[in-house]
Amino acid sequence: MARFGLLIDARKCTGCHACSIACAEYNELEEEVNYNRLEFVEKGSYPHVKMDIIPLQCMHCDNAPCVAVCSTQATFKEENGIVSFIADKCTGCKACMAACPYDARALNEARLAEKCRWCPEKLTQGEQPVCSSTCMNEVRLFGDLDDPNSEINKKMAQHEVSQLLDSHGTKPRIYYIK
Amino acid sequence: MLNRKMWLSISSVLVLIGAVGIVNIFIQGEHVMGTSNYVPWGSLIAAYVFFVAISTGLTFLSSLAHVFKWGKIEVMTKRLTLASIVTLMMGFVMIGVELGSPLSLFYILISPNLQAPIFWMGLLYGIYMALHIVEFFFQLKEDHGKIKIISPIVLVVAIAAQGTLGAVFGMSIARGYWNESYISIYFILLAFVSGLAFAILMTVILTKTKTISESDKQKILVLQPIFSKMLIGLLIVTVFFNIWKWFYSLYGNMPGKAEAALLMVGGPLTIPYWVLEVGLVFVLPIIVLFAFKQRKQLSLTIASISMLIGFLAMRIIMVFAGQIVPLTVVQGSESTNQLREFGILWSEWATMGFGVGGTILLYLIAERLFDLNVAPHKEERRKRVNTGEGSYSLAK
Repeated sequence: MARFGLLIDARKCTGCHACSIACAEYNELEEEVNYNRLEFVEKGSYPHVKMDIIPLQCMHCDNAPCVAVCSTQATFKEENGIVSFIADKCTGCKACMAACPYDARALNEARLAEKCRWCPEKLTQGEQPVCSSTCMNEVRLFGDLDDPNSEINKKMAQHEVSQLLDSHGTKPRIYYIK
Repeated sequence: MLNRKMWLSISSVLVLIGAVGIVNIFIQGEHVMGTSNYVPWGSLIAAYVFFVAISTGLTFLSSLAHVFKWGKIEVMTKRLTLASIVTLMMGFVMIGVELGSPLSLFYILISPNLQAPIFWMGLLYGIYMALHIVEFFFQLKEDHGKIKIISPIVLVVAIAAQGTLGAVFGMSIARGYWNESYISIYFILLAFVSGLAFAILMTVILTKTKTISESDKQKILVLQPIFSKMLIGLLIVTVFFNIWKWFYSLYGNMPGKAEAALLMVGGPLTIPYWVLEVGLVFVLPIIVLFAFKQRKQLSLTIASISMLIGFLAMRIIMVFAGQIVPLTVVQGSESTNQLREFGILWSEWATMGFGVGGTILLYLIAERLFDLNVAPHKEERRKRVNTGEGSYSLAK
């Protein structure tokens, strides 16, 4: 069984939002629902300034707070590491939204806290999730963290990587090239 | 004091307006609520905590008779249990409206997550409600043997449920303001004070109605100074908790904690906190209870109403304070520069009004349906017969 993960090279992100748009279109997301977002960080002072752009989404944590607090197991961890969601089981209590330290859940019109599932239909066809495949700069690389020959592992071996809020103990599955 | 018809009219209007608000929320969803993706829990979560805490507090008080054998309070036990059940039901209405898909709660039985505090909270409050109704049934039947067995269980479940409700907030690692171990104990303390404030208001109203006998009124009047002393004592403990909460919040600049505390010192929660929470829960009741000792009924009325309004505000402030400081996922991110928007829209106010109106209305209906006056125990009856004291009269 594969153990999926995502490597993000935020240094190459142009802030074009194509990932968010592709995601919204593919998942037919309603207005105000977004599984992908960009965080903008201004650094330095004039004239030596720069803008960091950090793509953010569900981290598919191994120790996911949203999974822990879900009373009906509507949010659950699949064997391949994807934090998945069954809408029928969701009570709409929004505990997952309150628990997620990444603000990665979004409420839909049906008042259910939806989330990124890394496009499972694409994965079964051996393709990348749409946020990865649509990115013109190949900022995102999705792959099997258990396969030593996977592209993601090869690339991670070449760079120093970090995770967001790893001090929270959530063990996120998304890695960022430093 | 208002008569029964007036109370019925006011509560019915509140329930009707509330029903419109509830229907509006069910039709239009979160658009008509002050919640968002960043502030997912709104005022109705706070209202839920408010009502179930009162219910728990009332159970603590009624258990003083059946568990701790404090006979003086026995005159009120049926009414305390009834009020506890009614406020619990209104709490369930609040959470039912806040839930996006309440029917999916069915899955709690099929695929429960034993790790989730909400599962345990739901389970415990479900058991609490069921046992409470059974307890009330035996109270109505004056079956003291069974009451003796069930009351301690209800008390234990009530404490466990309220503590678990605290854990729903306290175990949230993402929210620094809530994330602390003693929040469960604090919730239990606040529940006791909330229940006491509600019970004091009940004593004032009951002594002015014709539904109970004069002798029972005298017994209730005896309770008032005791309740007042308990209230002041517990308020002092609550102040102690709050002072330490401030120290812990500001000391060490823990992520999310200090920023949330500072919302109440110069931030958007400053006036609600100091006026509605500190003013109405602590300052006004303590001043009134000490300053107007001669006009006891008036001071108790003002103190208890002030505290109940203040407690609702306190719950709302706590719920929002934990969420409106943006989560810092990326240090220095522009999205963390301003507080998250929040609010309470009319449908939510109406739903909370439904809770208040529903509590009064259900209580009044039950008061008419059931005999809530406590018959003396066998020994007491025997004593009365021996001493020639008159038979127990119901004034209904």
